[in-house]
Amino acid sequence: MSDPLEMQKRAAFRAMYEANVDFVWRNLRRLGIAEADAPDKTQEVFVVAHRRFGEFQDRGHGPRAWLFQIVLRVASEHRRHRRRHPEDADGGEAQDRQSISPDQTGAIARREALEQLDRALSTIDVGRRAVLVLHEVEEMTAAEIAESLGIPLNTVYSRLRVARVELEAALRNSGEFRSPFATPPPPQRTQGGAR
Amino acid sequence: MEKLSPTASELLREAHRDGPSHTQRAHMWNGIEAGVAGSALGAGGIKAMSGLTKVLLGAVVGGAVALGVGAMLARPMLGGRSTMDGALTGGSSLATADDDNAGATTDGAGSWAIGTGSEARSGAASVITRDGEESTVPTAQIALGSVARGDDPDVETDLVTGDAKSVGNHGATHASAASQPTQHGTASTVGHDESANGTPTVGEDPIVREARLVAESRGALLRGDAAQALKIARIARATPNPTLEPEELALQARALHALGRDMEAASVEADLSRRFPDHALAH
Repeated sequence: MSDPLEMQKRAAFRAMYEANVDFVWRNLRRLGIAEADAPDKTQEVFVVAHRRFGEFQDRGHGPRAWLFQIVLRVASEHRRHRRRHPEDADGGEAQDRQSISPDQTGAIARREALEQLDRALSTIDVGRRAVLVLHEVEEMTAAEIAESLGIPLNTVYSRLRVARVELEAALRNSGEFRSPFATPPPPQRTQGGAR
Repeated sequence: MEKLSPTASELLREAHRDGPSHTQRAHMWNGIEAGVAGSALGAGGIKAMSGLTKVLLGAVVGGAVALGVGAMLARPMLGGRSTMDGALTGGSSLATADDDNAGATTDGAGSWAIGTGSEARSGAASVITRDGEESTVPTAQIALGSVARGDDPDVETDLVTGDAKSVGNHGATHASAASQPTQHGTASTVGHDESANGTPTVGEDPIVREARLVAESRGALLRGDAAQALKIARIARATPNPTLEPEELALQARALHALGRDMEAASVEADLSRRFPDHALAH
């Protein structure tokens, strides 16, 4: 590790990791990776990224488009593996819930919101889901998404339109189309008390 | 284009805030470094092979040293004096570390150190000078005396005796993987900082002393003195039958991270997870 070039490369990769680990994590989660598996899969993405770091060329959008391609591949392989070797009947959801202590109400609300979203997203085709997530969650432009996924710009728009409709429908059909952050209405008082 | 409903937008905004915890980030980085190191070993060709040879050599030499250390530790039971006493009281002493990662740490003006355990397996013994500076000395280099100057520019190897000598600015620390005659702690501890060298207070219970050292190590870490924290944590681990070993390992890992020695930290964390899988600090 005394090689200055190697140290420089390591520092650059570390900086890239710190800047993008959240991005990789949440996209893996939105692409169907259970929280229990997310650390392993995030590591896998970055190990692959490290191996190919020399090939990465920044075309003005940073490494996200490039990383997302790795994310898509890792998530796809994981889903395939899960189908062949199912370990948890619920895909690890019960394990995920275990990691929250009961007093963490804020965390529970957030977790429920994300579970609700992920259930709805899981009903959407992966190609459309990727476009929706990149646009709505990662706030990437249509041009950036087109480059990330290697698809025409018009396809991005059409996929986004359909994915939005599908998301709304999935949330409505789940029967729990409500905000987990909404404060419950105050209990109504009955006039005159119980009789 | 169709707009999303407020609830869907809210859920997506929440998704934007999703991410791993601080601890998870650190753990994942350790895993990545380990993964990268593993793949580098596989793809490194001859260069990596020479590194592997060093590791194997370190393991062999480490095993031999462990035997020697075991014999020395057995001596007190047969009427001799424990070498560990000398190590902990500072002065001119022979320090031994019996297990993973713990390089011998002594504080004496002229001290001998033998690294065993995983540092020896990885081909390195850690030597800490009086001022808290640490030299990592490849044990293969020390034992065989084959390399005059290794990774550490401050280490010179005596080709005749096989000793490696740290020639840093502070302290005169010697390291040897060969079995050296025991030099018991003959120097007085006057003038030594208790927290720095782990000198036991007279009559202090070993567990109390260990807890004190852990607290001191944590305090040093909070002060930003990671080198000192590492040193104290290692001294605490040298306690016979350590009670707070998970805490000490966790402190070592944190200190190593703070010193930028992430690979070593990952190794310590892996050790912690392996040996204490149910401990809260192992997660």
